[in-house]
Amino acid sequence: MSAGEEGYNAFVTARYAALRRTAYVLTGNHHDAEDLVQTALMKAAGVWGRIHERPEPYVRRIMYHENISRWRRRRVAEELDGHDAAVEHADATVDRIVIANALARLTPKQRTVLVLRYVEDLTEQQAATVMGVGVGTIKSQTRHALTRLRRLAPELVGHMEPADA
Amino acid sequence: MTHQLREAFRNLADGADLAPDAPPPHDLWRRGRRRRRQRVVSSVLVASAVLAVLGAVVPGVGGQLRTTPAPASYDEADLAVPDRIWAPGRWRPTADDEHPPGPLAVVASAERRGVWPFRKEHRLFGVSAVDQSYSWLDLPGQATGEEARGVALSPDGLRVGYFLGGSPPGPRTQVSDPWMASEPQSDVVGFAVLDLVTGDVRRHRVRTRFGLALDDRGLVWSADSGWLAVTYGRYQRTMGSASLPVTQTLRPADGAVRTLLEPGSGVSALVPGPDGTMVGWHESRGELAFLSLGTSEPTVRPVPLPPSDTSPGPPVFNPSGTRVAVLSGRKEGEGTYPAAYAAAVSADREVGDLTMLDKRWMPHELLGWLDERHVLVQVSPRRYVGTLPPLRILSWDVTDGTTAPGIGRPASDDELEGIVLATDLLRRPLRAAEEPGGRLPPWPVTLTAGVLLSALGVAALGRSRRRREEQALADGTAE
Repeated sequence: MSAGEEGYNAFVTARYAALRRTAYVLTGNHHDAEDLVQTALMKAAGVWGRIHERPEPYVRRIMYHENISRWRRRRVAEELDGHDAAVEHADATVDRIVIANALARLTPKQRTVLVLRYVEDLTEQQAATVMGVGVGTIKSQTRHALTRLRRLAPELVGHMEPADA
Repeated sequence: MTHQLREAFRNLADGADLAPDAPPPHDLWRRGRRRRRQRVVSSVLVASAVLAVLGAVVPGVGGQLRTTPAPASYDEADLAVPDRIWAPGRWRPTADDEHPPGPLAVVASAERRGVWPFRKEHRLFGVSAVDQSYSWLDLPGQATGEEARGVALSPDGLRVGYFLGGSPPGPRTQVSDPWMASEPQSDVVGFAVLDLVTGDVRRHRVRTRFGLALDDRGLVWSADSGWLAVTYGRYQRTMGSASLPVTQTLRPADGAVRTLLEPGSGVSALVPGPDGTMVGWHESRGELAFLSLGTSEPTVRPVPLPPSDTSPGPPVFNPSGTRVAVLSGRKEGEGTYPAAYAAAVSADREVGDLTMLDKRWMPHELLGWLDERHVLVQVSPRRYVGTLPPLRILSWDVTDGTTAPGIGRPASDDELEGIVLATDLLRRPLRAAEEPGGRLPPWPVTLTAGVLLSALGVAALGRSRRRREEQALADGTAE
């Protein structure tokens, strides 16, 4: 086993669960989340020589873009698998179900922006760099996403301060 | 809001942990590397396919650049020499034996730039006597050596004579000096005539082991365009040595070849003469030897040239053979300056008193007679402030010494050189000519190049962007 492969395996072992969490928020179901993470990790293996010092930003970036690309390819809105949610989330809180369903109704770009801003805690500038768009786009996408969330999940929005939007 | 939203997202992400805790697949590395290899291979395949398509398309485009076949019929009375000659653009069509250009008024050579930047070469081109259009010329089998670049356009503009190239069979000459070439001395192995209307090529190969030795006056047409006289020597085993030159004539009509001048005749140049003669020029003695193509006994007449350190060039006769013009030199003070002379030739071929071209002009070449008294001479101003005096072609009236513009041409021989005119056609009025196109590529070439460049640009942009993003991520700018 080469040194590159060893380093790669160590990275995968250490970060797989965390990456899967983000992927789950992005995709809304376990199957797609697994698929998304594995695709990003495979691509990372191909360019490991260039990214081995800091691989995680690259992998996450691939996940965001790959998720949007898949949506474009399918050209249909992804529906959260209600059956899975009901079964898998049997013991989840109401808020989790509400936000999962609401996120599923956002566009992948809007979902990605929210993940970058409120899960990854990136600044607008950093999110813009990752998405490969301007800061203005990040701002507008965030605003649209939150507006839509308010409409889709009034239960959740009820906890929100209107001024924050 | 943001705090609650973060809480909600975190809560949602916790849902990922509800799935069975499956470990990551063990073969991700292998699959990732294999995927990368496949992408590289597919990229190579795509590039190969693009190249293959290009290879198929470019010759097709090249084919479109060839001339259409020579006009099936043309009125011989309509043939004319243009009043101006330009260097043609790179994208003018190419004519050869398969796509003959038809009767030509002018043959010359000019720099032709290649498709790739900075690549350029001197190439032969012709100007149609029918419509004054331009085409580059590919003479089949033409020798490539510098000494074999000269060609001879027949006076009627229907044929062009040139030297054939090949590989002389002799062993490579072995020399002790490593700086000297050890190849055969010349790639010239014969001579040929291309019929510019039919595309027929009449070839004559000469038995030679080391190639033929030429000078720049080796090809001369008879005045009636019926014979091409070729003067050459044969290189020998000893480096640089050649046999004494022999002159042979080739009759394109039937391919007949016969010897006109045996080695050692002392004739340094042969020119078309009047009344079915060829005229041998004894440069060292300043004598003309009138040779009948049917008999071998020459009539020798001296030309009373003034003392000069400059060797006189070959004479040029007017259509009736009653006047002759020659380039020589003239002593003036401490030096000798090039000068052009003309003289009357009597019925018994005595050469009369000389007249000289106005000495404001420095003559370079005699191109032919426009009529019985006007000769075209390529000159540059004698007194010129600058490094490279401009060239021009004058019409010189040898009876009164006056000059007038003859045929327009680019001022530099870097642009245009080696002009050969169809001298029979000079007797007719020059035809107003328009500058040839061909500076810009035709649309199939432009379109193909544009599509390719766009594709390459998009690919390069995408690749550069991906690398930049990867680098930015690797540098941590996203964090």
